Amino acid sequence: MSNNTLNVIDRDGRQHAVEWEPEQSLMEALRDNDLPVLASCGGTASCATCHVFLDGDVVESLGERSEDEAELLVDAEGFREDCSRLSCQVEFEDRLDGITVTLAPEEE
Amino acid sequence: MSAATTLETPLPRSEEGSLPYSHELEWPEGLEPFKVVDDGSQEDPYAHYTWMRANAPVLRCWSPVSDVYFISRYEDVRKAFRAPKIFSSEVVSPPPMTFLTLFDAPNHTRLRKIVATAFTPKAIRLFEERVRETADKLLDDLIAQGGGEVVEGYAIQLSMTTISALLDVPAEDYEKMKFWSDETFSYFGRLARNAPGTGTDEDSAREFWAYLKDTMERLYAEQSPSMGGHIARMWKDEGLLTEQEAKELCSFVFIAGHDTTSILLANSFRIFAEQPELLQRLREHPEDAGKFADEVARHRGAVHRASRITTEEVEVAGSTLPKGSIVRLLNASASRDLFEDGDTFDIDHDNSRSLGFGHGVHSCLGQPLARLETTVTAEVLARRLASITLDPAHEIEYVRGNNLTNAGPHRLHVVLEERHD
Repeated sequence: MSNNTLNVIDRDGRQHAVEWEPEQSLMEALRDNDLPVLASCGGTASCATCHVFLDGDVVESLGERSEDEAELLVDAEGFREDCSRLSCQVEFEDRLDGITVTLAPEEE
Repeated sequence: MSAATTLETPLPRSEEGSLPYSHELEWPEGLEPFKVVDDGSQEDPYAHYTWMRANAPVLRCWSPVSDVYFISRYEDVRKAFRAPKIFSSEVVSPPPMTFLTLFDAPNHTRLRKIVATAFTPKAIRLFEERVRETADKLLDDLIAQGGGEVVEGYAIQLSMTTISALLDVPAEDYEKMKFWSDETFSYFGRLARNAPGTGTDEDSAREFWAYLKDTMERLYAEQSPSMGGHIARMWKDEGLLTEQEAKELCSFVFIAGHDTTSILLANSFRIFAEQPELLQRLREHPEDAGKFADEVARHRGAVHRASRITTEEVEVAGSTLPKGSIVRLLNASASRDLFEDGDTFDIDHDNSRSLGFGHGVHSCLGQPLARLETTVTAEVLARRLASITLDPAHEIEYVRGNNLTNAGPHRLHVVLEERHD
């Protein structure tokens, strides 16, 4: 498998081309490329600090969120049913090459 | 507690219909009622935890300042960790020190972000060879003596050398750094957890902070890429931290970076002594050393409890905690509750749901570093030693003051036999 490239939009609206390696979760790709994703819990779907927005059709294609993820997202800042995901719960897939990932706002 | 003391200071009775106090319950023979501040009867508290999970999953303990509720079952602890708006970390408001464990969002996010970049698995991997070299060297000395005391002789030195390198805070004088560190932690406990303190802790903490300020000034001038240099720039260039916050945050990283890891490392020796076949298993399968580290964190983790205050009335295990209740989440107990054979150390347990490094937004920042040091230690011990035995001439001494957070060995003596093949 070759790397994917992500189009990431940070919280200031700036765009970044980010390499996503097959063994990384989406959160790890963002964090390891120095984007401001805190990922406080380390990827256990327990904190919502890696919350991102994806295109609605991408979210739909990823299938159901786990109960743990859904519970956290509902209370997350800026939650959108059709677009929100915890990036630590999104695994690499070839078909996700080129998707746009927008960092969600942080909790006030 | 002696009968005389009891007569002088009678402990209060619980009100009709409310949860009974720990001291009113019938604890089994050999177990003193669990207390907020350890008096030596709960240094190795796992028997207490087992009883609490079965008989008092929300245990109400009296203290002179306030009642404290101890939550011990896995599902209850996990649920509370996941609800930081109900189980707030700002037990003292405003937080008396810039220690990450004392803050809720958004301040927790702001402060954690400053130090988080240094602790990602990617950043920590750069330290692996250095940790292995230090571990081998420390073990050379222990092997040459046929064994010895491993907390001072190995664990503190490895963890302090590593966190010192990461911060670029020199720690040539281990005893002094350990003293400052313990005293500052004690001062934290006094301000934030109503612990008794040492009488000298505030003065020592101020000395430690003065030392860290001088160090950060130097790192700033040298444009050091280390964590210490980074914190200094956040203070002096970015204005994201005040001078006091910078010093306190630096001390937090230093203390949290070695104290808990030392306990994990010492417990690793203990586990090998209790299950000698693991040395061979890891010798043949060094790739399992990470599983060993995760199981040590679950089975004999260093951080036993997390402190919280409830922001609304909440029900836990059938008991109602009023708003403003002081709570301790016993993650060390909860992790034993994760499996039917949770009291057994089994390297093949699936630890993906373990609370050994906490859970939620306050999960251990230093987990990748603690895990690395424990993994490398397990690998090195398995590679070099034929056997590890607890020295029968010395009982294990435990850390006092697990009223704060930590429990584990303070002194642990072993006999080591080197491999020759």
